[in-house]
Amino acid sequence: MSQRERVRRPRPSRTGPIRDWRGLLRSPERSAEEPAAGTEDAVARGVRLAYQVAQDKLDEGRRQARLYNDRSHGGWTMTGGSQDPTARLWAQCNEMTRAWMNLWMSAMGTLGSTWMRMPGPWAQQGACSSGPIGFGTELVGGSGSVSLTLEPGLDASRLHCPGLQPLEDKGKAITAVSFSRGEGNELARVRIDVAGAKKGRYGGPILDRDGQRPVGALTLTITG
Amino acid sequence: MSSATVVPELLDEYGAVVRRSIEAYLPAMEPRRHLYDLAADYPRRGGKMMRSTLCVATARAFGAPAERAVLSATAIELLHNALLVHDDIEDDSEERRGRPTLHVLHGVPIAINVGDALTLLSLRPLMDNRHALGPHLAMRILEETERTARESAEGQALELGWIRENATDLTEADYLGMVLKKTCWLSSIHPLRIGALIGTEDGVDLDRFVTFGFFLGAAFQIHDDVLNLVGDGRYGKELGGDLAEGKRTLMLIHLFQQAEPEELDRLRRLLALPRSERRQEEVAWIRAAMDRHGSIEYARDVAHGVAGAALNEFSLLFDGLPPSRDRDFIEQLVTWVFDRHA
Repeated sequence: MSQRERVRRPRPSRTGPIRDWRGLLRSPERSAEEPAAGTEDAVARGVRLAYQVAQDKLDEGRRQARLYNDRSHGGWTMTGGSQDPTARLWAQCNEMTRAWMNLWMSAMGTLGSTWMRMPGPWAQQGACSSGPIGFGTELVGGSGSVSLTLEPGLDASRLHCPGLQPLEDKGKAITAVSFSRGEGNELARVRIDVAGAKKGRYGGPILDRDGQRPVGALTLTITG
Repeated sequence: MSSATVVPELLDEYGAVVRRSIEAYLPAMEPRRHLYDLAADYPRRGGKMMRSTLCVATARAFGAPAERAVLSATAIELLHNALLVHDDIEDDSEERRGRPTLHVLHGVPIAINVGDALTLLSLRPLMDNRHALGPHLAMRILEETERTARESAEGQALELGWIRENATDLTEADYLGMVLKKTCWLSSIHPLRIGALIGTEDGVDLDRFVTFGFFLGAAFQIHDDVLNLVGDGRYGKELGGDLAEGKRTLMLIHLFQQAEPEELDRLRRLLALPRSERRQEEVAWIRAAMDRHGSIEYARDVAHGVAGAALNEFSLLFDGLPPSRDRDFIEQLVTWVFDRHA
């Protein structure tokens, strides 16, 4: 074995990926010769930061919503004490403001019907389309056809449709839509009360009752 | 339908309807010369109508007739134009949609008043929503609009404050947080939330649209900032205008991070000058420094990464809905932002 000193690589300044984005771009120790972050780094860092900022915003929104709801329901008393006259006044002002806003919307809506009303420029088809799925339907008070698109693997008892809007003409929405578990080979069963509804096409989203998540769509054509 | 056709097709189709609706809300009455004719100027210059089309398309994707979303889409465009008038004053911008800005043409006091009037005009279609949608939905949309206006003002305050205080210690997270408020909320989050509100009759958790709307809007804004440096004559704003006004873009923040100490000193001195004293050759030096440090390429990479994340968020939100032109539009909008005069 040679007596020469064994050549070794210098110890690396780091042995893993840089996880702290704050120090990555503006590190005082960083030399001018050190290569800039590569494309992959920029993309990954951008995405990670974007998700972080989005999450911060959602958290902030929820905090503000809680504060708003507390104030709307007199919740300032939780921190200020029910005997605090300022807090009571604030809660009363909030209630009055909400009542006034509703009144204002009604009044302005009435004015709006006689001033600068725009014509209805739309006459188009709805956005819903059908998808093959084994489900049962029950139309009460009329006849027609139903098409339904749903994410697979859902518990039908958790489905909720807030309403079916008329897709071709103006008219009343159909709100009596209910879901239940299917019978036999059916994946789900939908019951729609169409009594009194005009002929035509109607459509609406299907939501997950708990998660309030859109999971599908329902289209109804009333023929008689 | 391919992305090459569905986005421009719906922008044309829904945009035309919303433009007609906007005309109905622009008063044809006195005082014309110093108010109402000028209020109609920006809306008639022909913007992309991306915000309003996104609102209508989202409502339709959830199964609502488009008619139910037109008034809200009209309000979105009127508010957007109002903010543009004020932004142009605050940024001392010279061009908007290929023509001189309103305050350059008519002076700052008149332009401020026109912006105020446009803001107020945007309330009228929201009030008319009561007849189209009923009082509950109309009120919910008004609440959402109030939040949007607040987010936009807060975002603008952040950016103006950075310029005023000549901030050079900003991070990418600072930038993204500002863009979320200043740009994304009105450009994409608000139209998505309003469309979903109408399409589901207030039956869906609107928080779910914040992340997708943010990513879509951020990709759009970063690419827009890149175009301001490298765009061609079709861009519509003055090329390099962001550098001239000292706007804290992702490229400039990257340059702050990467510059050598002597470069950073010079950069600080240049950005501390008022826009009128910042000479063209100094702006060109900043631009060259960005090239040297790869700041523009870096911003492009981040924009593409965020756009990819937007597509992921899109599938989480919209995969449960049936295929439609409107759903295609929303998805393809993510990649379309990069096709604009690239």
